[in-house]
Amino acid sequence: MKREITITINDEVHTATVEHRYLLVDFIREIAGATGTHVGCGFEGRCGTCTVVVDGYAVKSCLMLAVQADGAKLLTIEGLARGEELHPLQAAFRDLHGLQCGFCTPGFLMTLYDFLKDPIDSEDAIRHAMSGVLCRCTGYVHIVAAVRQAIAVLAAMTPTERARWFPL
Amino acid sequence: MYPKPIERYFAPRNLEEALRLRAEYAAECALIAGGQSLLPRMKARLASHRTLIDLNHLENLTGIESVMDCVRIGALVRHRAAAADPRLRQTASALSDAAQAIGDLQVRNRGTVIGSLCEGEPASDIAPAAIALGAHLRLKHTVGERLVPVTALKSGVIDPREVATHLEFVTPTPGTFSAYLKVGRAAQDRPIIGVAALVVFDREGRSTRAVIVVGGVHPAPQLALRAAATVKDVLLTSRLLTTAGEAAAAEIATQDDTMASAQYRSQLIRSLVPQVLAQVLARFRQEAR
Repeated sequence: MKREITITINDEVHTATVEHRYLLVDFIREIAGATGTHVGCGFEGRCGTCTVVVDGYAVKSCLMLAVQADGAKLLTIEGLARGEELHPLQAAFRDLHGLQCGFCTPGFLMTLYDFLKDPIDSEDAIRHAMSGVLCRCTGYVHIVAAVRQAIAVLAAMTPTERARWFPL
Repeated sequence: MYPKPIERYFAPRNLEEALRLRAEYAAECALIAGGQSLLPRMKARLASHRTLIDLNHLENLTGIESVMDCVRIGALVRHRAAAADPRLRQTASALSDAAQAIGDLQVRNRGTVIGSLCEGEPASDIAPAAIALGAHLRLKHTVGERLVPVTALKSGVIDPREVATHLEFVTPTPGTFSAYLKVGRAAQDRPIIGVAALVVFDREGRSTRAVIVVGGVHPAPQLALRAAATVKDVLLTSRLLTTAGEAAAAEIATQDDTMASAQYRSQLIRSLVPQVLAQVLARFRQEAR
């Protein structure tokens, strides 16, 4: 019924014995204490707010068992900034008011982190990429604008500089 | 929502071990790859499995490869990889379209093409495209294997001792073009109606073969045979595409459910069939240029 697993979250190694049915999102929040990853629905995979980056890909952490992430490397919202310096995507959200209450924001940022690795600078592509995260303050227009700014800022960087913002 | 307790969880490293575990636990176990349909169903208690066999660590099932005259897609190919594969985009666009249309970015990162087919729900994006391509599922068990056409997939067809390892179809001949389009309640939702079409063109641009498959209808995707006949052995015109849409709406039985009425579904078929055929034609013209 239980298994010992090790998951690296934002370069910190966490080992725990968990039930097979334990969800990855609970491992992140309850065991690793990284509560920036939110839960906005009843774990049905509908809201997208629990999105984290697992081995380089954005996934909904409520749609993965913790045991399935044994040995994986995760990036969560807490690992996005570099110290005091905001990730270009975070900076763009702040500059262009890409959030109101902010509850869904971790899900948007981690989903769009994946999209920004190989972005397409069109409103359609951005909206398609973020269709798996719900914002109930209805701030999508500003989010699209923020993503476009982030694309431009990242495109102006050298490849090495840009790679620094995509550790996973 | 949480799944019921899962007594055993296995993450086999090779297919032989997976097949042995599958045979041993048979009906009480479930295979998990992406888990994007299975986990929600387990959490809603629509399914409960005391044993899970996780296929994610198996080798040799992550690729899309050409074997003889066939395209073979491994059981661990995620929707994202299928959507991005240049060869699929070139020869089997309907499947690329479906893989790009299913779920959302996060679901496409994790969910697999074959897992979506094995879930066997009528409202699947992958099934109509796979059927249009004439695809088969390769099912293995400890002492043998068989190929089952995607058209035959329904609940109970896959034996609880079998593992679906590949999706296979004959590489379409040059001149074959296909597409898939859907309408869902929201972009990431299951299709209310999804339509796949495949047309083989000769050098003059005349269609020599046409397949139209409508998904989102019960109990499984259906071939629109009369609609396909209206666009075979002809030069496609916009008037013909409209006729095909009318024919498909007339021949495909639709159902009422919580997502949409039967009447709305028929209207979607009428509207999507010409659109998807127009997309096929546009792809043919682009390559002919």
